[in-house]
Amino acid sequence: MENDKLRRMVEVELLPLVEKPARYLGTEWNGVKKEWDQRTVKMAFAFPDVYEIGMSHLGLKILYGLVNREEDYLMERVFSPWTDMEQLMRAKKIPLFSLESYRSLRDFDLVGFTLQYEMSYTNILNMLDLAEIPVKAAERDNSHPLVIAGGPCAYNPEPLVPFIDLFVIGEGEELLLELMAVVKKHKNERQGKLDKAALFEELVDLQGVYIPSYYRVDYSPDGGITQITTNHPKAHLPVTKQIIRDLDQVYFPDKPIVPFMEVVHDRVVLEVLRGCARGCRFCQAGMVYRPVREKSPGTLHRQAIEQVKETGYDEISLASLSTSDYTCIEPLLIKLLDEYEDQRVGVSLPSLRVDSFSVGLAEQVQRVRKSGLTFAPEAGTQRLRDVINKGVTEENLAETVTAAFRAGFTRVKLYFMIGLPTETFDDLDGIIDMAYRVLAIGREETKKAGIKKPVSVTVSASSFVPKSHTPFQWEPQDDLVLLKEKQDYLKSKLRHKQISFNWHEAELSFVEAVFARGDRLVAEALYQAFKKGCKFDGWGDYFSYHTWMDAFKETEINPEVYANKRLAPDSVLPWDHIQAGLKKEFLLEEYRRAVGVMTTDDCRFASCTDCGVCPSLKTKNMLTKGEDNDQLQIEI
Amino acid sequence: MTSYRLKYSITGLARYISHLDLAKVFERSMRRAEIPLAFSEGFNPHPKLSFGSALAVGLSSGGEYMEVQLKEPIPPELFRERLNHTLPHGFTVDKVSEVKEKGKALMAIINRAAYQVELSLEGKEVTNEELTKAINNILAKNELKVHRQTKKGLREIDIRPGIYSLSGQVGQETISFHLLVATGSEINVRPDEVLKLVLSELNLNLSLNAKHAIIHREGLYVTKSDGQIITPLEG
Repeated sequence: MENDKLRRMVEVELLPLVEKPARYLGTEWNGVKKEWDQRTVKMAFAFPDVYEIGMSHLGLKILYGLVNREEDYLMERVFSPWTDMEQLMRAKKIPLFSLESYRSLRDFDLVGFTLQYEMSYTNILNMLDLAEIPVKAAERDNSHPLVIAGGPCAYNPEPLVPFIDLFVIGEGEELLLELMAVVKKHKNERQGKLDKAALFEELVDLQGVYIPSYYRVDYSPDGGITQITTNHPKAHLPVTKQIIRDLDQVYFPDKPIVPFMEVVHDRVVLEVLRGCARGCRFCQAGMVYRPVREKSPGTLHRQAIEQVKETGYDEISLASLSTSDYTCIEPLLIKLLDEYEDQRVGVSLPSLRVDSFSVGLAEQVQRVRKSGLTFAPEAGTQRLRDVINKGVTEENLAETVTAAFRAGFTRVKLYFMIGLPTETFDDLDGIIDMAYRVLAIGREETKKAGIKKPVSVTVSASSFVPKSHTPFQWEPQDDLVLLKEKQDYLKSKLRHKQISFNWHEAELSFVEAVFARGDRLVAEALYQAFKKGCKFDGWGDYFSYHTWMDAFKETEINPEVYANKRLAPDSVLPWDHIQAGLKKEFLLEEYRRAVGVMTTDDCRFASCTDCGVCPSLKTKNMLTKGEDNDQLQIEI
Repeated sequence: MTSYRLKYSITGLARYISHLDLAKVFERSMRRAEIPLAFSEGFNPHPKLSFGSALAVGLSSGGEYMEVQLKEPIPPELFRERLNHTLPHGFTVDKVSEVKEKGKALMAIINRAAYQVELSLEGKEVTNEELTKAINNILAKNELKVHRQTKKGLREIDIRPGIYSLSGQVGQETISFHLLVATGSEINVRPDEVLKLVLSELNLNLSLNAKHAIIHREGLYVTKSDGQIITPLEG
């Protein structure tokens, strides 16, 4: 369909009938619409979830700005249309289109999916189908776009192998431009056409590029993997992630798109640092984004000013895996608050470490806007916190919340995980005790301070999902019966009008675990689930457990083997050929220490833990010395 | 603190932005334009922006109004120019005027709305005579009851006192209507309610959903006590 006709049809016939038309306009402030030139390399950034989620994603903002500032490339956005829109599109035979140009995805050279969450996988298949692109790579030819994918879930890409032509592993800022440069040269040599087989050979040497068809996986009769080998002479084994060495020098967007409608993170997002060395043993992000690289306060200050000016947002979020850890957090926060208080632009901190320093930061933040406080002790007892290497003590928490209530906060959220390795009901009692202790401290402190507003404590418990590239990758997830029993136990014990308890649907976490540790074989079940209509699985309303179970049954996949089995330390893992820079011996040693209830220090403040990242990727932790703190002073 | 009234229009895809999202669109545009917004006090400071009658999603408009308070005065023409530079596609500020004396809120004084409607005939036929007769019949009535869903349940409302003028013209594939009706808190008449009565008088079954009835609000007005109709910027 020609794009003007498509735009007209969507505008006149579809948008009047959908619930939230502002999702599909494509005319937002700072959107980039480029000339549709034959020579340009065109990429659709496909986010397999609804607009409000996708537009909150920092990676999209970075890559969109990065690609579009290059003359010869363009990037446009596409999200999963909500179900009302999808129905109309299918009825009118309107293919999935990009928001900027209203072009069918088939008109692009590259369609790139971001993999943020396993439960968005059915949306990927559905989006390809809506775009009239064959869902399976083997059924696509050179007339179809190259379908690529990256993001955190790409560290175990195997469940998506039949659907994706090429994965990019690791951080994309440099790799994507390198990849597009190769595509550009390739296109220009072939009158604008792609020859995928030839293109793969030209791309395979880029660090972080994983071409799944170049690898062969052998299985034993019981379904376990016996070996992963290459079946192409140019294939690299393993494929090593790409990394940005100096975060201070790398591109960061100055003009992110400003949505018309409210999105989940509706604010300026500044990435203050990347990576985390705290070493929580369940946390994939803390493992695969190593090492820690901080930006300088001068860079962040400049980026904040540019983004506020170009977007008009009233809030700046200082984002990272652990923002309290940022070396210059205090001076940066105070400087931004001082500068913007008058214009009522606030600053927010998404995650807080459990200590009084963090409460002090949160107190500062209140100068412009009031908010609640969120802490993540993750487990209820010291023993279990040591098992997972979460360096928080009961006393830390008590002191921290005391300081928080004294400072006038009345709402505290506590995040926990249930089903962690070695967990018993004693650990659940620990969660309960902690919740009541926090409430008691809150009542006492607010009473002393003469605050009338009742204290509220929110306890959220997600279920442990073993993730690849973590010390717990060999550990099973609790089976469904046990997970539900644990949830019910907490529910029954946390009945109090000032405590609210949230939990995640256990069935959802179970399916998530299947794909988090899945191999190439589970792809068939994913395909079957898509065929049966599964989509938006991350949305409780749409997740259909029984449909998923039917899909597993029909494809003869036993989901329990993937989610609930303890893997032998010497077994071949489905993602063994994907290298995040971590030594397998390090992960195993951390696993042993966990079982032995031994903690491991943060390598920023103690000795090297020999995880292997720095030597294998020729990099190191880069903490800002705050040398441009002096510069900051001068600027004031 | 200085107050300003703005007249703006909404065209194209921007008509799909909801009234609820409009305040953010203007707040962010004004911040980008470095216009010194005044804020409310308290834990969650809000810019002091208020809008005239809400426009339904899907309707374009040639005359919407808002009022905004600024910390420092700014020449109205400069205000208009700067804001037009930073407003997203589909929004245009046509006029800015300083509010000299503190009167009633915009919402409270606006009481008339003019609409232009293009209604698809969907292949059906009607003559101009039939249409004129139907409109005259409707306007001749003393009472026009419509049903409206309110918080207190289904209610019957007489909209006749809120219809000030109504005319129509049959075209190739559409009928064009022009309406001047009441808007605001006293009586509020929706254009689709009026058209529904016309269609029923014509015995014509046409869809009034947003796809088949393209509604454009031409403007909002204020009637003074002497009956004179003025724009909110003159008030």
